[in-house]
Amino acid sequence: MSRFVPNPAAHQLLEQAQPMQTHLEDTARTVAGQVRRAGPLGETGNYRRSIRARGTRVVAEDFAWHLVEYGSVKNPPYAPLRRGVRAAGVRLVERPR
Amino acid sequence: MNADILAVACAYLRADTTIAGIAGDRVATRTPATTDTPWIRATLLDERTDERVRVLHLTRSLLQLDCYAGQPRDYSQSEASLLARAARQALSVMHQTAHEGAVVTRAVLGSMQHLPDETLAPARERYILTVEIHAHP
Repeated sequence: MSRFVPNPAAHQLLEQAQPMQTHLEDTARTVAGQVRRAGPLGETGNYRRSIRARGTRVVAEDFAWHLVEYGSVKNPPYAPLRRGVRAAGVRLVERPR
Repeated sequence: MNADILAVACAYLRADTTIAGIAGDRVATRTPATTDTPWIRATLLDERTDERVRVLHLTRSLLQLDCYAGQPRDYSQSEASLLARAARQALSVMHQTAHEGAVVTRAVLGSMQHLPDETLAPARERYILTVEIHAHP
């Protein structure tokens, strides 16, 4: 009778597999599109243009991204990153560094 | 009809004795006229229905709570931290309380971040709390 021994690195190996990487990159592009849609246009459109999918990540390169995302005493939070993730059908898990 | 979860959450937090001891009744959806004493600003970021159910019933509302300290003092960071932690504690048991117009089934706590607001001079201590509230009529 064979015994199943789970591989503790299974999750990591699956994530690194090419089909999964392709899927994650596609998802990142979808999320980036939703983030741009959720972001404010503003006078210059700089924020929306600063949203990029880089591999499996979505980055906001505007220097004031944190003000747009979290707001301030003078402005409400637009939260395009958080809203964009949800709009793309992806589960949002926040792990701030 | 589904209730305004933002109003439900604000009313609930205002009624919390620990929060009232720090911020009084200053839990609202906009920045108060005076910022000398602590306050919480609640913002509805996103509200979604449960796509598994055909009728409009259960909603999942993503809220951001900005927990601000009062006038900058040596203890401002701990003041903002205490306010945020009190709000987080209250939200963790929100489903155990009856609310006007809504049944809260769950409050999923997200992140709590220390992010001072630098648009004020000097920068004002602030903790940002995210919560997703699941509720139905």
